[in-house]
Amino acid sequence: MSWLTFLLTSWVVAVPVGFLVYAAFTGGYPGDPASTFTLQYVTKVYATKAYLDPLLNTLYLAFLTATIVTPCAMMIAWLVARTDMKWKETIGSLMPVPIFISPLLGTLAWIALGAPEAGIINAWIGRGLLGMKGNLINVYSFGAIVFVMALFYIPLAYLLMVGNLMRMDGAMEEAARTVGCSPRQVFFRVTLPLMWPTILPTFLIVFILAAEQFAVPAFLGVQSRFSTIPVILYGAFQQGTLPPGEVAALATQLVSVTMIGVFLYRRTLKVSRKYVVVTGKASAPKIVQLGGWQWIALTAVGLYFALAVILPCIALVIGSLQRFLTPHFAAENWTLANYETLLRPTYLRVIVNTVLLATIGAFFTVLLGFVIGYLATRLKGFAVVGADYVASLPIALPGLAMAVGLLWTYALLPLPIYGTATILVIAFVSRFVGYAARLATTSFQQIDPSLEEAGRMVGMTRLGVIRRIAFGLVSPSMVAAWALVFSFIVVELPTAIMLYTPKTTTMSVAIFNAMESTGAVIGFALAVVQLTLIMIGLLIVRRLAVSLPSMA
Amino acid sequence: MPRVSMASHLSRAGRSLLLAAALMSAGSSAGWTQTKLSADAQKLYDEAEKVIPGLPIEIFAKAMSEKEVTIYRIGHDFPGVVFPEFKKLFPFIEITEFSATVGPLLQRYTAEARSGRVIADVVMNAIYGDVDKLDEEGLVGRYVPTSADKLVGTIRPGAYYPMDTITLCNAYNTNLVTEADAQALGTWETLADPKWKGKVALAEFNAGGVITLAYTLVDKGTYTTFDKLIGEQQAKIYPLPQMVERLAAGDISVAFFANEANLHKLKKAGAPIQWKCPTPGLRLNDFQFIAAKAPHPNAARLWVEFLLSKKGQELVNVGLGLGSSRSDVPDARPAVGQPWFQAPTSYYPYTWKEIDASVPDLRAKWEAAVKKSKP
Repeated sequence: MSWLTFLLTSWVVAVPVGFLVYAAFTGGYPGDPASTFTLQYVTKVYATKAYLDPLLNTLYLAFLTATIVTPCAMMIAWLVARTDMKWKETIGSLMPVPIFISPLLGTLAWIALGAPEAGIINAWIGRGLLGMKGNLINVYSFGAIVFVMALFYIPLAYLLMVGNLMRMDGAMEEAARTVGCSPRQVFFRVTLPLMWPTILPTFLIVFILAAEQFAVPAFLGVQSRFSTIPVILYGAFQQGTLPPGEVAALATQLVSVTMIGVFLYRRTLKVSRKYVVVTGKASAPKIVQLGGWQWIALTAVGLYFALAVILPCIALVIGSLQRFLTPHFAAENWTLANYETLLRPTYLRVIVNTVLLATIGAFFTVLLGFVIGYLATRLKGFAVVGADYVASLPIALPGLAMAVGLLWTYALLPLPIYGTATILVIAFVSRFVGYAARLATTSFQQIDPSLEEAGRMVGMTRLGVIRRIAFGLVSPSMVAAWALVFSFIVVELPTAIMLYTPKTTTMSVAIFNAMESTGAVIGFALAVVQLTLIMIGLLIVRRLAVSLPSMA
Repeated sequence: MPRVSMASHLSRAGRSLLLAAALMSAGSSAGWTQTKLSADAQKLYDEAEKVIPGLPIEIFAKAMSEKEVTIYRIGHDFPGVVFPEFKKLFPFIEITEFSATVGPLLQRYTAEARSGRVIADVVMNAIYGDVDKLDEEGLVGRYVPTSADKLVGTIRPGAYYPMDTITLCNAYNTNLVTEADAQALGTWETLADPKWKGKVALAEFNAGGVITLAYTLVDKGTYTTFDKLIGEQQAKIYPLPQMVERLAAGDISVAFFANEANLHKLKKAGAPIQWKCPTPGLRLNDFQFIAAKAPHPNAARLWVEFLLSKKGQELVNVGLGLGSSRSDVPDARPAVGQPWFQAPTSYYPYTWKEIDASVPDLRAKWEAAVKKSKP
């Protein structure tokens, strides 16, 4: 079973990357008899200014985003986990919501809100309320790119940190208080250093995700002439302006960036073992009394939700009800026609595709993640370690690069998968199995193996133990993982946009295409429907009394 | 003893039957068969032939068994305007459509066709040179529509035929630009007019065939240069469809080289925009071709026939806001004939071969100017 899992995981993850590397060094289409070994594409991509500038832009954008996201998320996580902030349980349960709005929808919303002359904020607040001649904000700027990305990566970073903060052993903080340290000193001298092993990996994961992001810089970077490697890669692949070998080499460049992040991430994990803060004999951490800082904290969190959730949702709804985007709300410009358009067979198919692909994709992702998590915590051996490592690779692999590799893998191989929903399911499993495996591993680590041993002692088979005991114990986590992966797939764009066909178009792709060609207002209407679907899914999960997992 | 033929032993009826069988056999071997349709199918065919005179019945019959067509289309509202009318005539054909801008559309088809996994039956496009190369590779199907002799525009006989006519115009937001100022937009000299500094938008170069014609005029003409157009004018750059949406929203005052189809669509929705199309006019066609190994070739032919019929072209004209590619379909778009509208009086002469050959050079000049103009 271990070897089967290792081979399956390698197939869905490592093989596409292999094809990518192959294409980077041969040029031409995979299977093209004219392609021969060459270094020209790799040399051009890795050693010419034309590509080094966007590479530096990518690194800079990723670094800045991670630098802003990590402390903001840390602060919110600390407020929720370790203070007496009012409504912290509600705030904690609402924190994942911006993940489901996603950077793509956030970009649409902030174009409607912050476009220089025609954005709602500039027109209504800047010129209307404040009487300004210029613009209050300009969404088509580098700062706005960082702002939008930060808004929608903060919740992910929060989920990565809040669990550890909640479970941290309070003994050291108690000791510091005992010797007379103020709450501020305790935070900066004890809590923060103890959190470094969580902070650094969080920083790196956000760095990796920001490096591979392409929708936000694609829409907002054109005016400021800010170009990143993912934007060039997407444009080159879609327009066919570069030879396939150069496209593949670009994709490997993106992979190299994220692989450096993965390498550093795994190094910090090794170091973090010296900083075990969650032990079997933990004492409950003391809750910090905020006192006069209560309302400042609430205002800050409220401002974040306003910028990340409330304003974008309002903008999306407004845009979806207009004949064309405008800040001038004349009566004749309101319409339900965009929603009527969504009743056409093409769009109904898009909605059904999304729900089906997300449901099936999440199921197989969680299934594979469950198996990997079980094997990683219960067995030893090369295959087990290998499967766990390979499964974690996609967290670092850019979706665009992965998709290019998958496209060429299945275009070349004589398997009837290309152009079908199957290739999308494989792609989604590849992309998100790392998250599911990590959640499963965390869950199994918290369960004593003696329960399963008891099952074996009374005569149950290994499969019986897994099915009746192991799965039963972790099923709440697995249902929560399914909900999380379902939402990730619904909003996923970089992989889907490379692999979709007319019959397998997803909502994210349709939204992106609407912005590019068919009309922004249709994109807004689709965005509202997508959000509604996700909210319904989350409500169902909450009714099942399952809360979304932290990933720490 | 005289030879007696078999025929002499047959009755008169028998001889007639023998003659009919001989004739039918001769007809079959000459490629001439009588396609028989059911009564219902015959009714549908008769209705279709009123719209598409001379529609080959064999194509109709074979399309009935194919039952679907996949169209890789450009972003105009075909589903809302054209598909319903097509379905009325051919209710047995299910349309699957895939929409993108011309570059990604062609790239997708090319990748699929070269790997032998053709999904599209019909591909719409505007990048002539690339499709010519595909035709040379044998990836473009052969078909001559019944209306071929009535079409005006760029044609590659047997391969692709124009399905519309587009003119590139200078558009303006009527809330931000007075009609007096807008008069200047009726000439190409306006490209260098400093009064548009900071207020103008351009489409990014990757927009595809449509915009390469525009930037060829910039490169070869005397009106301006890329540096002046992008740098000195501080032009904002958008993907082509977004440019017109930003104009309608009021983000920009003027859009140079706007695709009039996008303008008509937003004008119909009530956007405060108008436009003028300078002389020499920049006119080109979108076209469509049938994929070489189309999964449903006859349904594809029916689609092509319908879109190029008079009815189809009237839908393209009034419904989609595009010029017709048929010489016998007058321009009935609401904007044409308005007092503010200006059409070109003559057109810029070009060949797509020259334009395609200059694309790499144009792209390099564009990118250099964009880089230099960093805000």
